[in-house]
Amino acid sequence: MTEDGLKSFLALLSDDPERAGELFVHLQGKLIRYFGWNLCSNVEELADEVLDRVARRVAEGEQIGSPVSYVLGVARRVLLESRPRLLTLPLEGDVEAPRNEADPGDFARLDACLEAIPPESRAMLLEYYSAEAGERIRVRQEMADRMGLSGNALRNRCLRLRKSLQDCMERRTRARVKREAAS
Amino acid sequence: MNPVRLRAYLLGRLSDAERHEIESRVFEDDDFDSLLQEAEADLLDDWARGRLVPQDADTVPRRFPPEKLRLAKVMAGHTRSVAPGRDRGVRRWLAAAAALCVISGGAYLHRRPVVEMPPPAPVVKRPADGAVQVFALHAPATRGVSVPVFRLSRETVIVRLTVQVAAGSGRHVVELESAGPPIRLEVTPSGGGLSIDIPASQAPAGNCDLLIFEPGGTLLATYAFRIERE
Repeated sequence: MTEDGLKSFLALLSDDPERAGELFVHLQGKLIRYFGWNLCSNVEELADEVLDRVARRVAEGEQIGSPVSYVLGVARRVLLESRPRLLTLPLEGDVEAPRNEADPGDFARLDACLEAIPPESRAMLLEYYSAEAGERIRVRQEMADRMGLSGNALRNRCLRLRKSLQDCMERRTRARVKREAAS
Repeated sequence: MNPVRLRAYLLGRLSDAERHEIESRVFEDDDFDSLLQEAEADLLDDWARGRLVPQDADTVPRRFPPEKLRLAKVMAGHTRSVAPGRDRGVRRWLAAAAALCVISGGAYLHRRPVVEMPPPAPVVKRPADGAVQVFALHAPATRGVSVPVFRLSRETVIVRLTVQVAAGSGRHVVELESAGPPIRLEVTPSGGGLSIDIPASQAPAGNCDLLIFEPGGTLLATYAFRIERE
């Protein structure tokens, strides 16, 4: 993405540069989820490809009424273009069954990741996702009422915490793999 | 939008048109976006706790990456030991999690595998016409258009899907996607059309997508339809 393209695209999202940056990152997140839900493995790469193409078109002077709709249209095109690659996957037999053995190192990493979350947030996260299927709506509404939050606000907080936990685990797992490869 | 529909989307059970509707809302409505993310988390948690029907439980590991599956497994172990409103501490959580299966990262395909379906078993006797049911797909699926619904008769032995392709085209790859394992076949057109035969016992029920790829690998068309069994 060229600098001019990025500037033009950001200007399209918002007059306020800081807000435009937030919206850009927000849109990138939606694209990553879109490609993930459509079973693409290189989700970040595809999301960047979409944003690159949109920025290029904006820089070329294309008039775009709704940036979000336009981005989704380009994403659909990129998804279609990526699909034939499914056929070149060297699939051999069935998907390997997951190994069931517990790895003690994983639990230590999880411990560390949980410790990194403030205690109140940790308790909120665990309570939010402890509800059984039939009780989720009630339990979560009760939590929101107790905390003085809207249902949406509570949901978003817990989603962010869950994501941060997942990212933390992955960082530590990658660090372990790197250490083992180096030794 | 009801949670059942969101879950169907996450499990890949909706038609193209239905998927497009949900994906449009994800981009245009932030609240809906987080609702779908929560539906994903709940689906993974239900999977990790063994609360899904077998078909769904088999589908989940094929549609989500290992890191999300692993997190769900570990959180399932912890939340089983935590009463709402109380945090019993990380150590106890770890002891509960240690009893669980942990999916290790790195070596798994998290995309659906494509199963090479063996050719239909040869028919020893020529079946009566009624035993071959033809589903002719005339128009590629487009957004907003209702998809054709085919009712599969109990007497049917062979389901024949047919589409029209340009004359003179070479061997095409055809991929049938549904709630079951994807089916991929290489088919040579004849008489201006492509047809694939599937034993009726193996024909998927529910929403289906038939993808046609040109010999070079370019996606030619997608046909969305639905099969209902008598």
